[in-house]
Amino acid sequence: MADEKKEAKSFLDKIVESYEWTIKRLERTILFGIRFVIPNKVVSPHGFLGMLTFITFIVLGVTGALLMFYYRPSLTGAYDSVKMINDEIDFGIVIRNIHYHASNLMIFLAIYHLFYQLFSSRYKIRNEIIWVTGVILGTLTIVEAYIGYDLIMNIRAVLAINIGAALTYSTPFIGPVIADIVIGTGFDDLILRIYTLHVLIFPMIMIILFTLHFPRNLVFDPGMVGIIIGALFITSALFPVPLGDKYTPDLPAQVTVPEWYINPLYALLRTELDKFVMGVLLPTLFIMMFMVVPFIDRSKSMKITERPLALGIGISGVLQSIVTTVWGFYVDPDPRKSYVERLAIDPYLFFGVLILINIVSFGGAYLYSKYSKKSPTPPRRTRSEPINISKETIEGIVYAMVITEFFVVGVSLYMYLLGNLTFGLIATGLSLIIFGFISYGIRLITTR
Amino acid sequence: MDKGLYIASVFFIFMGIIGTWLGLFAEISETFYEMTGIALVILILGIAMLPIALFKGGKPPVESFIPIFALLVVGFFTIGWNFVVPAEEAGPTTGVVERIYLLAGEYWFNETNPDIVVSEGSLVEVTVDNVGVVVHSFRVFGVSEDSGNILPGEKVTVSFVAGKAGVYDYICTIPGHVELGMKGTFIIEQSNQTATSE
Repeated sequence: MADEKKEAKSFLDKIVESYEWTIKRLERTILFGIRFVIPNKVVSPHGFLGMLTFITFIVLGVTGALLMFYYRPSLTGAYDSVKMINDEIDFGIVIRNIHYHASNLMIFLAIYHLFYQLFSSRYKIRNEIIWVTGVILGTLTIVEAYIGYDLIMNIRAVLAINIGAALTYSTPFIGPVIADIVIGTGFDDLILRIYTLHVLIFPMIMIILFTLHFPRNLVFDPGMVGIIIGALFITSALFPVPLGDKYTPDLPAQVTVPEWYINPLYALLRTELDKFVMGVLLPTLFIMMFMVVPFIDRSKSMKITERPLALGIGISGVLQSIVTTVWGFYVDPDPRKSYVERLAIDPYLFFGVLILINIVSFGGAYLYSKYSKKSPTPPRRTRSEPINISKETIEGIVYAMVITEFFVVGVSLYMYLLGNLTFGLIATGLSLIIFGFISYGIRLITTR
Repeated sequence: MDKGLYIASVFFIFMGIIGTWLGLFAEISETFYEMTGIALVILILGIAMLPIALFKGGKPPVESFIPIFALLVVGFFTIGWNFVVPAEEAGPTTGVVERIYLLAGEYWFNETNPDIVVSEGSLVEVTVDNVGVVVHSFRVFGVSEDSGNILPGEKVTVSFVAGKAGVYDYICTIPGHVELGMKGTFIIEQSNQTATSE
């Protein structure tokens, strides 16, 4: 880290000295117990998806803390305060949009992280505890996001609350106890309690679990972090999240669907079979299936094609998640049919498709691994041609990007001054993405 | 080129395109709209990862651009096409404006659910006045959008272009109200201009 240039001027020397002074003192803290590795060449984001998830968690923490200033956790005030954040508070809509899209991104990155680790079999290198805490953290993330959007108290939120309450009551033994703790005596209690859970208890549990989940070498790539956060900002600007209709008890039931991460559960419930089995038991089994993977997959090989069980679990997991999520979003659009008729999913068709997916993915995985064992292909080492760009060209591009960066930052600030939040946020996101590419460009220059 | 990252980003871009299309343009089911947020996140994540996947470690082989070209084609015909051709042929109006005033009560429109006849291509403005005591709504199924909830005492105007000639239903979309009788016939007649030109 401290490989600063020796021919630095006296002023720079002082900065370097004070930097080294600070680093020496920081070494006494826990911060340096964790090793942050800033890669010195372009690395695949697959290597640090967990870090990206954590960065999104921090974005959620910051935006969430800002939202806490104006949100009112009560039955009467919740929706109106969110509406006020949306319409009246300066930058309120920006913060809320970033918070919403960051929650989507965090869950998606966590799931992506899970499947990448599964396919690359990282749990084999003494990472079983990291794997198990990771699955718990992923589940907690989804529950955290789920209770988060319940706080808006629009019609979608009440649908989600109803699903959650029905599932809690349907669970034998522990269900009523949890219901007493979380739901209390009604909506007013419920809102305050899930607010406390959302802003304090769940994040605390997650931060404690991070100590059991983080590896000792953390790869921190500023370039990719800039690109991801920039992409998040641009998404937030392009697709402002709708506020929805306020929930009032006298409104008729509207056809609506929950957020995508609990949509598989909604699809299962809409088959109108037993609530407990569909809504609690099957999802728990699905999560448990991932949790026990390191303990049932005992093959020595690290290659995914030689581990049919893990390959089958991975493929069937991906396909089942996609199919149930999309199916959960589908509601028959014909308004002449009754509410119940439109929502119903034919259980034979639904589970037929799911069983077919399982047969195809597990069978396919076994056949594939068997077939690929029969004809062992030697590992092809195709060395790809290096890109021959002269150092001057890269430097030129980096300088151009730096100038563009200043321009874009200026534009974004000007747009905020004008009050055009959409374009301001797009420009901010763009500037972060350009920052990411500048960091990659500098890396290309220094590694030559 | 990083093969694993390349496969992941192409897969994400594909999922993002399909999700955005289902959410915004497909018109299969209105509830797909709620999918758009996550679809855009996946799409942009895929686009952000693609250059790193392609150019990491050296020049990408030429055939790696074939799926990207296919994605561009798929993206254009699902999403881009809607920007090139913004509205369907519902656009050409004859300029005729037909104003219709309906009372909504328990459980009827204008007490007798009269047939509504408009000419093809006219701009229809239906004002629904809820004189009842419960929430109602209005929609010409297959022609107009839903009016949304019309609270008791509220007046809401739904305007739309009468597209293809035919016989449709106008209904109240509150669950159960159609069964109780809030359903009438909405007829779009072929206009004289098109009839004479044939």
